[in-house]
Amino acid sequence: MMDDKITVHNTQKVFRLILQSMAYAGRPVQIPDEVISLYTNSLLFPATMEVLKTLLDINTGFYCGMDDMHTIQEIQILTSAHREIPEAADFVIIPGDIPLDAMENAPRIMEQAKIGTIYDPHASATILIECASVSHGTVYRCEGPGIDNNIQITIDCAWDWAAIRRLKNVEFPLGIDCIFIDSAARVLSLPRTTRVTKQILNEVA
Amino acid sequence: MHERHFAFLDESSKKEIRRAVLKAVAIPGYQVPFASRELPIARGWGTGGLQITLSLVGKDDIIKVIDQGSDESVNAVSLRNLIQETTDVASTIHTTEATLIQTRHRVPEQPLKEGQILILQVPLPEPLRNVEPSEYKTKKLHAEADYSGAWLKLFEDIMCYGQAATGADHPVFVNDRYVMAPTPIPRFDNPKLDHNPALMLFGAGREKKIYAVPPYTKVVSLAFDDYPFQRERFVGKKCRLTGLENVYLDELIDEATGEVYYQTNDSSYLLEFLNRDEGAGTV
Amino acid sequence: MGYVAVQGGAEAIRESILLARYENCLDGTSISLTEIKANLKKMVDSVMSESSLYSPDLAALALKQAQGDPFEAIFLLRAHRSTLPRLYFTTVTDTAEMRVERRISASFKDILGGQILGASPDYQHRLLNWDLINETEADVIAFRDQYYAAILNAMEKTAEASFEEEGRFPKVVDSLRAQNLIPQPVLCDEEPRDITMEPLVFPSARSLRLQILTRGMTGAVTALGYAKIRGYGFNNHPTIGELRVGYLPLYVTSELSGVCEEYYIGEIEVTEVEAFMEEDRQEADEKNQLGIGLGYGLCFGANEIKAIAMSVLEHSMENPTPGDPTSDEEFVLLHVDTVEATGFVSHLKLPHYVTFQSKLDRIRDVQRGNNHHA
Repeated sequence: MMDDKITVHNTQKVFRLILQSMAYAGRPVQIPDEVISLYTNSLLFPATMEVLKTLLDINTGFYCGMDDMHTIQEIQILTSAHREIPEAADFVIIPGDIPLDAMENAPRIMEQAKIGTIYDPHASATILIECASVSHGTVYRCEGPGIDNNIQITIDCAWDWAAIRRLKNVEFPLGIDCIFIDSAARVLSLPRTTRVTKQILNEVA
Repeated sequence: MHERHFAFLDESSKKEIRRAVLKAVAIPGYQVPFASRELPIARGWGTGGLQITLSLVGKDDIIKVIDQGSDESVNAVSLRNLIQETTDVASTIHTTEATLIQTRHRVPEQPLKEGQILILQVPLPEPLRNVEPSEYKTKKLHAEADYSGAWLKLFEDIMCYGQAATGADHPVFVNDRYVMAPTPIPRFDNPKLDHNPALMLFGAGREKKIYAVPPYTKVVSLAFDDYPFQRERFVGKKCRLTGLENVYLDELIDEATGEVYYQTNDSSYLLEFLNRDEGAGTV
Repeated sequence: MGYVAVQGGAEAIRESILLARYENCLDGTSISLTEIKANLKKMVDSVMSESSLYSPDLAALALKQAQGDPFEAIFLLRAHRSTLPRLYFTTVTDTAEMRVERRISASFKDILGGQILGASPDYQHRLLNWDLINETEADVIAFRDQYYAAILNAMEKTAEASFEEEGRFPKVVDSLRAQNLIPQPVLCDEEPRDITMEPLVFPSARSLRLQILTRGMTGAVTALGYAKIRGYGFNNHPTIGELRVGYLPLYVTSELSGVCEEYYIGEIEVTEVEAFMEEDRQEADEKNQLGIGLGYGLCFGANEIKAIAMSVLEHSMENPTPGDPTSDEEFVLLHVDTVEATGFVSHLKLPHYVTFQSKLDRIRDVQRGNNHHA
């Protein structure tokens, strides 16, 4: 396990940003450059790798929605986490930069993620979704805990995550929690409590 | 002396706690179980809150630790020393300056703001424990949102005493789903949990549970329409030093006269009020 | 500057620590860790057991620092334990491999390999030994050397080749299994869970129950085990099939050299109890059958009472009886931990004036209300 001092402080920073984004649902946070390393063996965004390094360890299972063995090995080496099938994974990673056929897979992967039980709703998956941007794109209106009244969010993502997310989260407290990560290392989280509706608006730049 | 690890806990313990905290935020009021490490502080003395603080704290944080409303009580000092000895972070008594506030039995009088995190120490996380001793069964009651026992207890209190009998730790309903123990804060502080701009985390070390109230979350104290929730009443009483009325007061006895007098419980709020227009003296 | 807070807390803590140290130094003597390990071995054993950390040296240090208070010593060791990384896990240890120092059976007069009384206070009369008041190191050394010489002498005369040479003995329970009085155990290949690394949820697993009991408070485990055999849920007390005290060899595996190899890392002293319990069994034809069940106890060091009580409670929770608190796993498991019990009880010393003020407000209010009615 990487316990060197730099990692200790970097993962602390990244965690606090993730926590802030989860607490203030829908508000993007920026992972600063100085805490992001280079991951030459991984096809995922470096920011995604930082999030994985922060949250995963030997006690967690992950599923990565791409076949690239180098990426998967890199996650295992960095975190000691084990690979899981999508239905059993604690963390499900849906890469942004994936080929078209895999793109069609993205919704299916999300559909399979575990939502916990009424006794243990926390035994549910956290979905890490890589997307083009969390500051422009399709506009959604969000309400729920962590949000003062309501806010608008904009996410540029190639597939319709919102519809599947709604299906997975119909039976609160069961559900999935989503963390969106964009190519500019911005993070936006939507806990299962957030009610999301698509706004019929033009793209906001 | 060998060098201690930053924030005492090893990284894999922190990760487990951090994951539990995220799930707690995603399911407001639900008690997430965690393994809970043993600390150099006794179980029951704030180890749950401390484990959250140690898992969250970073070099840029400014911490504030309070016990019973005071930054200077021995237990607050002891907890703050442990955090600072293992992290070197800055501390403050001023609520507005703090990024992380660990507290036992009070929510500060100074309203919290966005970005601040209040960490409450929890002795008994289970609000249904007084109606059901079994953990297995209370977990089931929460799962099925079966809170008839909690309502019945309240009803029986009213039948017996003409009102609810809870002192501190009056249960709350979070996000219209989970009944939650707000920790033994006075009822005076319960309304502060509702739609607070700050994140509130709750840690029970001995009972091994973490739960949360995210910012801007609906928190309602359990009550009946015809027997509304009541805070402690300090009718006709005010702080001897500041004249403040709308604060939680300590009841004290004047050593010279033997008379009962009242003083603002939140010691930093009291100081800030007194220093508003540059007084002089000690409290 | 204006008003400043009275900063009494920090100073009070400093002074309190100094005073405690001063009181401990009043007599001008200091006890060495060697002396603690040699003279207070049973205490060292129970502290290791309740700390779930096998280290006589650290246990002795903790006892010294805690001024002999076992609760405090256990607390120190548990806190230290949670800072230690887990580098390796030992392989499965078969207790039949124990190098036995003492073994007795209450179930059979003759057991294969024989009963070995070993070192035990069981048949000593508990009369204060006034000679110890003035015992000197020279007395201790003289006795030790004389006793050792006598043993050597006796061993030369009886050069018997038997189990005892290696200290390994067949287990009593195996002979009952051979006679089908006790069912063959079902092999469980499930990875043991670790109570210090995962939350305890109910219903729990047997590996978790055994861990909590073995690190449980000696007094609490004994008291609850006593309650069970005295009358809460039990109509027939258990019979000790075998009680052993001895040393278990431990191994770890490592792949550092390229191949998976087993390395001997040392041995630990443990007490093991297998107790026979009368059980009702439902046979395949749905007739009730009497049988013998097994209760299991194992703890660090020589601590026989705890191991016996553990076997009683373990069996009790495996075979719950309605209405019996000692078979209610929540009742037992949530209350026998030393650090949790002492921590919560002692937290009552912390100030509670905010909560008490709240309680007073309620009581005054209710009383006022009642007066109105009167």
